[in-house]
Amino acid sequence: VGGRVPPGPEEIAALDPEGHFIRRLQADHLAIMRLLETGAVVKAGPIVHRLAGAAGTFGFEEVGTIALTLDEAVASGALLPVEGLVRLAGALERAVGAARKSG
Amino acid sequence: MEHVAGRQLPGPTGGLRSHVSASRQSRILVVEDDRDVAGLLARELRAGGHVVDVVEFAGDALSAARATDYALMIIDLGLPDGDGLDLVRDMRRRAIESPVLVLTARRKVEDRVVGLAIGADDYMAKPFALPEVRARVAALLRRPSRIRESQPSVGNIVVDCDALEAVVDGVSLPLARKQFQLLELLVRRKNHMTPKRMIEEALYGYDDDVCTNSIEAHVSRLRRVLSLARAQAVIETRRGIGYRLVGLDSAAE
Repeated sequence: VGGRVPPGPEEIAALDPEGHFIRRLQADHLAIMRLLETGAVVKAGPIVHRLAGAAGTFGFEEVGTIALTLDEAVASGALLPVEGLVRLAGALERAVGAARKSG
Repeated sequence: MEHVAGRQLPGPTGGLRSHVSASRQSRILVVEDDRDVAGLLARELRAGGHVVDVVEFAGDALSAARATDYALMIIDLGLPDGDGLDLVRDMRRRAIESPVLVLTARRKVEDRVVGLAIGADDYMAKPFALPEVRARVAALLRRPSRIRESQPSVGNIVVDCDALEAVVDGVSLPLARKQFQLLELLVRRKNHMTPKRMIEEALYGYDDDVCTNSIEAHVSRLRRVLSLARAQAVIETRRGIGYRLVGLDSAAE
């Protein structure tokens, strides 16, 4: 007798998207700082796009709002503005700091 | 986020991750390339007792939707291998009628209008709040599914889904419940190959023990009943894939 396999305990294990997202914010902050230093701001496009779609949902509204504005500018054909990216880096730094404080 | 593999569908890219969390629930497909957002959605839906499949790519979503009759699909618009709107359009063109909740960070009215016009059933803007997800999913699942034919037919076979009776030339067929369900599925998908996996999902719950040859046994019995009743349709087998019901006119072509 075969049949479909019931879910194992590992499948039922809780996922931690919030924790993973905070780690991602840290990585994104470092990546954007590096791109600002090297002047390769155009490479920040995919990071900005991902943040635009997710940051607000995870409660990081400032990051989400700035990223969304930048992402829409890029979608309409504009280049990523350096000053906007600097603002995003600042918002990311604050978000990571706040997340660290709240544990 | 670690997704744990359950049953897998062949896909061109990332494959499908499946998770079963309850014995009686709706099956929902989440098409979202952001793993954190997908994880959040999946966890929320599973907590609500639903079975959730997650895919990241449009190609995988199409494969999954062709193989499984989802109660709902939540589709992000910006996918790595294509636009979610194209995916919805493609699904509707292929007569995949599961309700679609479009998810997007795009704020333009035109995007929302186009999404609804091509066949999406609802729209949710990112960022979203989980209570809003719950409410919209519940509302979509409450809606009667798209108008389904209540008496689908092939040749002289008519399946009366209200009376739970199948007839050939007006004569009722002696079918057990699972054979009736199988016939209804094959008639609704007439002339299309129906994967064995789809049949299993239609006939059995996750907690059911399924004998390895149970589908073959049901098909064999159904063939005999249809043949004795002189039905103008036959069940074709494609080994390793599934079954297809074709009218005798089509089969002769």
